Amino acid sequence: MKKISRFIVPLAAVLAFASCDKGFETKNQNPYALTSVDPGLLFSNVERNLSVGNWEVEQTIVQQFVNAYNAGATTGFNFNASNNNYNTPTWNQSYNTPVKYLEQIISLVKNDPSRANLYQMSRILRAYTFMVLVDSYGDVPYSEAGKAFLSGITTPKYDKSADIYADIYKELKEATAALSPTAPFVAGDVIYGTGRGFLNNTAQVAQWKKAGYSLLLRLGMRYSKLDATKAQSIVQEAVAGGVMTANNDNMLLLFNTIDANPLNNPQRTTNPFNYYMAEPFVNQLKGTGDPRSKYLVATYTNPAQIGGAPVDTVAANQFGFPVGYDDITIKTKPDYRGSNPNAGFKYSQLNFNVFGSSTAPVFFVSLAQTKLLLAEAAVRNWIPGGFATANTLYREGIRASMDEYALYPNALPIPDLNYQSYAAQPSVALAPGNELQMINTQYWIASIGNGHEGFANFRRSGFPALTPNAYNNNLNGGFARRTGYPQGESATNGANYNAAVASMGGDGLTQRVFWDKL
Amino acid sequence: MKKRRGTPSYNRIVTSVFALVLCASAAKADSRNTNNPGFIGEANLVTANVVGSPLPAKTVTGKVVDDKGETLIGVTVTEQGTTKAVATDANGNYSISVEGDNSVLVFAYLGYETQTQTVGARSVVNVTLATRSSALEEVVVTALGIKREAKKLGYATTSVNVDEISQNRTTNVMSSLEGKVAGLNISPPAAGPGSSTRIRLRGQASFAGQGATNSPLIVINGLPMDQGEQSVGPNNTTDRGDALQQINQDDIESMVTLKGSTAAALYGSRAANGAIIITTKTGAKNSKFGVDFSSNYSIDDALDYNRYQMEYGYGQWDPSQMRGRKPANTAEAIANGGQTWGGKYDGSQVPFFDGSTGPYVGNPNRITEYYRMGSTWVNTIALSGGNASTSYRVSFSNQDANGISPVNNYHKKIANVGINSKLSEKLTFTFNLNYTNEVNNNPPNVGFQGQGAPNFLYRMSPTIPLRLFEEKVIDPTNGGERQTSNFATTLLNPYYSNPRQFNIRNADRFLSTSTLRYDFTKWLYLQGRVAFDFESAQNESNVPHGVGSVYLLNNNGSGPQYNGSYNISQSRQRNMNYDFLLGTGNQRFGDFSAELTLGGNIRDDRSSGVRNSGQNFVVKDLYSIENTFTRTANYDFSRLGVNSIYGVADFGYKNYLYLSITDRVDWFSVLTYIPSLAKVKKNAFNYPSVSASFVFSELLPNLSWLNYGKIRASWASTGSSGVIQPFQGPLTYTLNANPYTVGTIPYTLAAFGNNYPNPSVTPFGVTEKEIGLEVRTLGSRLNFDVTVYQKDTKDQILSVPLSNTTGFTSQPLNLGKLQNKGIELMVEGTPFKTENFTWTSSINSAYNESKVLQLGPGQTRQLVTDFNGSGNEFLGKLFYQTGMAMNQLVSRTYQRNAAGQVVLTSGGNLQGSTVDGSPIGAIREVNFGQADPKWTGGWNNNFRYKKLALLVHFDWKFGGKVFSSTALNGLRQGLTQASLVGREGGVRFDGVLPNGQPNTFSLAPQSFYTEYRNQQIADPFVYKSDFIKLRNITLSYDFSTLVKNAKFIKGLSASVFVRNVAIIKKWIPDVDPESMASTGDTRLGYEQSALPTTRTFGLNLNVKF
Repeated sequence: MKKISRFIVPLAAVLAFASCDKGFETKNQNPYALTSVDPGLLFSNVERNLSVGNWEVEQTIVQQFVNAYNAGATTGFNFNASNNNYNTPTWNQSYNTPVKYLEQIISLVKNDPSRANLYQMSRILRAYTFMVLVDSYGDVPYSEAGKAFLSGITTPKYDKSADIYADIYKELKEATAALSPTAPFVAGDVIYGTGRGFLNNTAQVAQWKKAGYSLLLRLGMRYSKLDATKAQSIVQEAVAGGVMTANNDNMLLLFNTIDANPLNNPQRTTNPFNYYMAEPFVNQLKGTGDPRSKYLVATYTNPAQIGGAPVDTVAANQFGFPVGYDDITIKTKPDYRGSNPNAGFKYSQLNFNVFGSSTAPVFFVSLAQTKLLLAEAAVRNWIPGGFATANTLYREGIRASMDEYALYPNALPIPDLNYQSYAAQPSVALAPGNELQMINTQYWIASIGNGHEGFANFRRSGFPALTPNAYNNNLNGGFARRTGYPQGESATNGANYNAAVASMGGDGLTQRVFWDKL
Repeated sequence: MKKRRGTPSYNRIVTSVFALVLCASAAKADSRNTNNPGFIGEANLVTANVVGSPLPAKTVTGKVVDDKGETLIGVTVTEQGTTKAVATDANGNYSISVEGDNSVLVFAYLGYETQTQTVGARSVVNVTLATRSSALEEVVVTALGIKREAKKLGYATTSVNVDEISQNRTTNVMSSLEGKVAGLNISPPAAGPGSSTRIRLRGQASFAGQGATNSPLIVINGLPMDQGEQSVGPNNTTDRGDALQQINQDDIESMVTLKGSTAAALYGSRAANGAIIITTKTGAKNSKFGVDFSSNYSIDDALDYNRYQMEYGYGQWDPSQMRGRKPANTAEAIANGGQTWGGKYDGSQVPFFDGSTGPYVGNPNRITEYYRMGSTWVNTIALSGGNASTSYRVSFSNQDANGISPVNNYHKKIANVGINSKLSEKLTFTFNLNYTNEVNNNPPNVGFQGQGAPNFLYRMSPTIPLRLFEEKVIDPTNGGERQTSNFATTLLNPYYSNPRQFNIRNADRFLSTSTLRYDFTKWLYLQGRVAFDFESAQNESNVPHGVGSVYLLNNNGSGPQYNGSYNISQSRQRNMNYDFLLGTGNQRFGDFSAELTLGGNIRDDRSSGVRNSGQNFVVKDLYSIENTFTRTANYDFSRLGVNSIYGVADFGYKNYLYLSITDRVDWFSVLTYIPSLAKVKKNAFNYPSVSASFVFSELLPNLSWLNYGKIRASWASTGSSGVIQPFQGPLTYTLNANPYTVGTIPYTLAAFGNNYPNPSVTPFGVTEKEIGLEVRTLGSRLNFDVTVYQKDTKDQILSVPLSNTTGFTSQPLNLGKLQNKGIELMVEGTPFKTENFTWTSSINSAYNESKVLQLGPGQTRQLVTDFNGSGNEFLGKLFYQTGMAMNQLVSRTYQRNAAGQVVLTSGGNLQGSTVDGSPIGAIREVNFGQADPKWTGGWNNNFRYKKLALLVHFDWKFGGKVFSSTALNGLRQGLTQASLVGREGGVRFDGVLPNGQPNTFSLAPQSFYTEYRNQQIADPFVYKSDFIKLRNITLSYDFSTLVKNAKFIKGLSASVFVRNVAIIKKWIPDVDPESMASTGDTRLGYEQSALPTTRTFGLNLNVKF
C-alpha cells in the first residue's frame, strides 16, 4: 500500500489542481463562423423580409379573395374564424426579421456618422413595421421589442397602440428630415439602391425622403376618424416635406425566378384549385370594365394546374366566388356555377401569369395610394384645391395604379385610351357627394397586392361598401377589425399579454385598433 | 524483494501516457521536476516491478470437458499466483508451462464452477467442469471494460444472451432485445431495414430537444459513442439508422447492460442514461485454425391491421338528400378521391379520377397489395485461431435486405478483426477493428403527410382500385403526376415517385481500439488505449419533377423551370478517445481486500460536412446541381473535447461484503468560453459514486435452499453535457446561400439565429440511487433479481420558448427538474428438468414512473411538439407539465356543462373546450395521459429436448397513450368503422345546445367530423398503446453429433424462427400499437403513416469447420 500511495498522492494533486482545459477556449470557437458583419447586409435582409401579409388574411377580409376549402387548418377569415395559422405570420415575420435586425443595426450605427443614412432608413423601416403591427393587432410590444440580445429583455411589455403611433410619428418625421444627401450611400439598400437604378447618395436620399413623407401622409390619414385636426396637421406636414410624384418612387420589392414573390407563393404552389377571387371584387372589375381585370383575374381549364397554363381573362367569363360559402355549402346556392370537370369550381382565380406570378413585385407604399390619399385630403379640405384638385389626384391615382403593371411579367402597358374610357364612365368618374366612397374603392383596387394597407384603409374609410361575410354569426354580423394575437404569446409572455388583452377588451377579431373608432 | 532493472521503454510508455492524459501543463511540469519524489519516475518504477525467483519449470497438458463429456473451448487455465494463463483450444486441449509440482492450476469458464488442481507429479491434468450452480464466480464486464466478479457489484447489470440475438436476428441488433431485459425499453420504429431503435433504460432522463440524447451510452470494445439515432422528424421523413447498425450479431462476445447511472458512473458526463457494453470476439488461444460460417435468410410479411368500413364508397355526402352519393363525373371523382362519404356500395359503375369507370365496391386489401414480401439474407464467415501467445479472429459479413416497400433495399457489409497477443510475458496487446459499409436505397418516407406511401394508402378511398393508381399515374396532358384527389399536394401517389425518386445513403464507418496492457507485477498493471471512430457518409436524394400535379412547372413569368429538387451531402466524423488505466488488481490483507484503479481519458470529437442542394431544373428529369436554378451550399463544422480523470477504490471484507467508490472529473470544451462571455466560468464537473454489496448467503451456509443471496445498494451523481452544443456563447451571423437579386445587382443578406445564446448554461446532473436483491434457491432452479431505483435529474436544460417579440424564439436555460423511479424484476426458473428435457422460463418486468418536478419560473407547462402546428400532422400537442408524468398528450376536449353533458353550438355542431368564464373564449386543453408506457416486460421460455431447443417469447408494454391520426383522418374522410354513424340522415350528436335543450340538429357527417380536427377535440382518437405480443418463436437443433465423423465439419446447427408472431391483445384500431414512425422523444405518442409492421420468418444455419 505504501508503494501505491506514492502514485496516488501526486495523482490526487493533479486531479485537484491541474488545468485540464488547456486549449478549450480556442476549441469552443467556430473558426468558420462570422462574429461580426456589415450592418448593411442585415439591412438588406430587413427590406427583403418586410411583411407582405397573406391573401387569406387581409385580402379575404376585404373580400378580394376566398379560400373555399373548409378543413380545419385553413378555416380562418374566410369563415370568420380566428385561426392561429393566420394570426401568427405577420407577427413572426415582423418581429423575427425586421424588428430584430433593425434593433441590431441601430445599436451598431447609431453613433457612426459614416452610416448616418443607414441609421435614418432603419428608423423609417422600424416605423413602417410597427405601423403594420399596430394596424394588425392593436397593442403590441414596441419599446422593449427585439432587444433580447441587446438588453436582455425576454418578456417585452405591450405598449399602448396610440403611444406607439405617437412615437412612430416622431421617428418618421425626425428620421426623414435627418436623411442627408452628404452622408454616404447605403450599398445594402435593396429598395432604393443600385438595383433599382438609384446609383448615388443624392438619388437614394431623395427617394427615401419621398417614401418617408408618403408614409407620414398615410399615418396622418389614419387619424381621420379619431382626430381630424391631428390628421390634417400631419397630412400638411407630409405634403410640405414632399411625397411621391412618380411610379418610380414606389416603395417596393422586385422578385425573380429565384427569389419568388412571398405573397403569391403559397397559393401558387399548394392546391391552387382551393383559391378563388371573391365575388365583390370580380364584380367591381367586371361592372366597370376595369382594364386591370385581365391582369388580376382569370379562369383556367384546370384550376389545379395554373403554372404556364393558358388563361381565360375575358371579363364576361369571370365570376367571383361568393363570400360566405365553403366548398360544400356553395352547392346549395341557387346560382352555383358548378364544379370544374378537372378540379375545383367554375369560378375565377388569380391570374397567376401576371399579378399572381412568382416574379410579381410587392408594393409597400405606392404613388397610386399616395395620390388617392391626397385626393381624400383635398375632399376634406385638408389640402387646398377642393373638388377640382381632388378629381385630378383621383385620376392620377387610377392612372398610377394602371401604370404599375409595367413591372409585372406578361403584362403590356395599359393604353391611355382604355384608361380614359374607364375613368370617364359614370360609375368611376369622381362624383360630388360620393367622393370618399369612389376614392377609397379605387384605393381598395390599387392596394390588392398590399393587403395590410388595403385592410387598414377599409377600416378607416368604411369603403368600399361591402356586405359582411354571413358564414356564421361569429363576428355579430360585422367585419373582422383586427388579427388575433398568436397563441404562443399567452405562454411565452403571459403577464404582458394578459394586460394587453384586458386593455384591448379581448383578443378576438372584433376588437378595434385605436384609430378605428366606431 | 529484489530490484529488477527497469526497461526504458516502460518508462516511456508511462510518462507519455501520463503526459497525454494528465492534462498538459501540470503533468509536464511534474515530469520535468525529477526531484519530485512522488512522481512515477524511473526509480519508483523499478521498485514496482517485482517477481520471485524462478523455480524449475515443467509443462502440463490436458483436456477440459463438461459434465456431459463435451469439450470446452476457451477455458482459461491459469497458474495460481502468477500471470500465466492459456486457453483451451477447439478440442478442449491446453498446454501450460508451470513453475513446478507445487503449482496450482485454476480452470475458469463462464457458466461453470471454477476448479483448482494441484499439479503434483502429473504432466497431464484432465478436468471436468461442473455447470455453475451459483453466481459466486461469475465475471461481468463493467464500465471502462473492467471485469468484476458479479458478487461484488452494488448495482444492476444484465448480460444479454448472445446466442438468442444471433438466432433471432434483426437488422438492428437492438430490435431483437425488445422485452428481453428488465428495464430495457426498446421501441423499434416501423421505418424499414436499416432504421434506428429507441432505447431507454429507466425512463427518459432528460427533456427532449437541444441535441439531448436519452439513449444509453454505447461502448464497443472500450470505445464510447452516442447511439446517434437519425430518426424520423419534421425535417427528415426517413430513418437513417444508428450506431448499433455497426454491429454484426455473430461478432459479439458479450453484451452487458449497465442499467443505471450508478453502474455507468465511471463514464461521468455520459453516464446519465446507463450504458450498453459490447465486446467483440478475438478468438481463443491455443486453438486450431477454424472457420465458422453462418447464414441467415428471412422474409418479412407486411401485417395489415386495417379494418376500414367497406359498406360505403367514395363520394360526397349530399345535404339535400341527407345521405351520401357516389361521384357523378370525373371532376367529382377527383374532388372526392380522399373522401369516402358516398353511397352504399352497390357494384354499379362509378367514374374514377382518370375518366374510366369501374364497379362501386370496396378494396380491402390495399396494404398487402401494395407492399411486397421483404427479404433479408445475411452471411458471415469467421476465421479464427491462436497459438500460446496470440489469438485472432477475422470475420466478414454481408447483409442484403429488400424492404417491404417496393423500392427499398439495404446492404450492409461488416468486417471485424480481433487480435489478442501477449507480446511478452507482461505486455498484452489487443486490437479490434470493425468496418461497416451501409448502403440504404430509398428508406421509406414515414410519419408525415405528403411524401410516403403509408399516408396515401391509409387515406385514399378504398373504392379506387390500387392498380388504377399504378396504371394511370401519369397525367397525359403534362407528363406529371395525375391528380387523384383534392389533397393534391399532400396525398402523393407513390407509383409516381417510386420509379423517379431516389434517396441513397452510403456510409463507411471504422471503429477501432488498440490496447496495450503491461502487468508490472501480478498486482499492478498499466493499460493505455487509443480508440477511434471514423465515419464518412454520403446522402443523395431528389424530389422528382411533377410530384403532386400542381408542382409541374414553376411558372415565374420568364419561361418554364421544371420543378423538383436535388440534394447531395457528405459528412465526415472523427471521434478519438485516448485513455489509460493504472490498476492494482485485488490485494488481500487478512480478511480485507482492496483494489485501486486510476485512469484518464481525452475525448476529441470533430465533424464536418458539406451540403449541396438545388431547386428547379433547366432540363427536365436531369438531377444534378449544375442543372438547377437555385442552389444552396452549406459547410457544417463542429468540434469538442472532454478531458477526464477518474479513479475506483474497491474494498472487500471476507467474501461477502464489498464496497466500491468511484469518482470522475470531466472538463468540457463546450463550457469553456472567452472569459468576457460567461458570467460564471465553470467548465469542470465532478461525478462520484458509491456502491456496496452484501452476499448474505455466505453467512448462511446451512440454509440448503438458499444457493446465493445478495443485497446491493448504490448511489451516483452523474450528468450529461450532450445537450450543450459547441460554439454556443457568441452571437454569430449567417449569410444567405443565394444572393437576392434586384435588377442585376446581387445583395447578400445577413442574419443571426433564433436561439438566444446563453453562455451560462451548464450540463444537467443526475442523482440516482438504487437497491437490489438477488436470490438463487432450490439448486438455482428458481432465481430472483429485483431492483428499486430513483433517479433525479436537475438543472435540466430547457429550450424555453421566447416570445417572438424578443427577436428570438427560444433560449436554453438550466431550469428543469424531473424524476424517474421504478422497479425492475426478473424471475428465472427451471420448472421442469429431466435428463433429456428441460424447460427454463424467465419473466422480466419493469415499472417506471416519471414526474416533471420543475420547469421555468412560474412555468407549469412546456410545449414539446405541437403536432397540429406542423401542417403535416393533425392532432394535439406533447407537453411537459409539472407534477405530472413526462410526455403528456394534450389537446382540447368536448365543451361540457356542469352536468357533464357535451355542449354543442347553437347549430348542433361541436365546439372545443374553453376556459370557464374566459371573456375571450380562451382555449382550454386537457391532458389525455402519458405517451410512454409505464410497464414493460417479457416472458421468455426455453424448451430443450436433447439437441432440440424451442424458444417462445412474449412481451408487453402498458400504461401509455397515443393520438391516432389514422383514426382522426379515417373518421373525417369516412374510412373507419366509426364513420358509419350518421351516414343516413346525418349526425345528431348526443349533446345539448347552449340553451340546455337536447340537440335537434342532424348535420352532414363529413363536415361534422371535420370539426374534430378544426376544434382539436381529441377524445375519440386517444387510445391505449398497450399490447401483449407473442414476439418470437425459435426452433433450433444442434446437428453436431450427426456430423461427428465428417472429417472437416466440427459443428452444425440450424434454427428457424418467427418474429412478431401475433398481437395477443391491443386497444387501438386499424394499426399496430407499436406503429410509431420515429424513435425521437419529440414524436412520442403520435401515430401517423408508419410502415406496416412485418412478421418475419427466418432460417439460420451455422457450420463450424
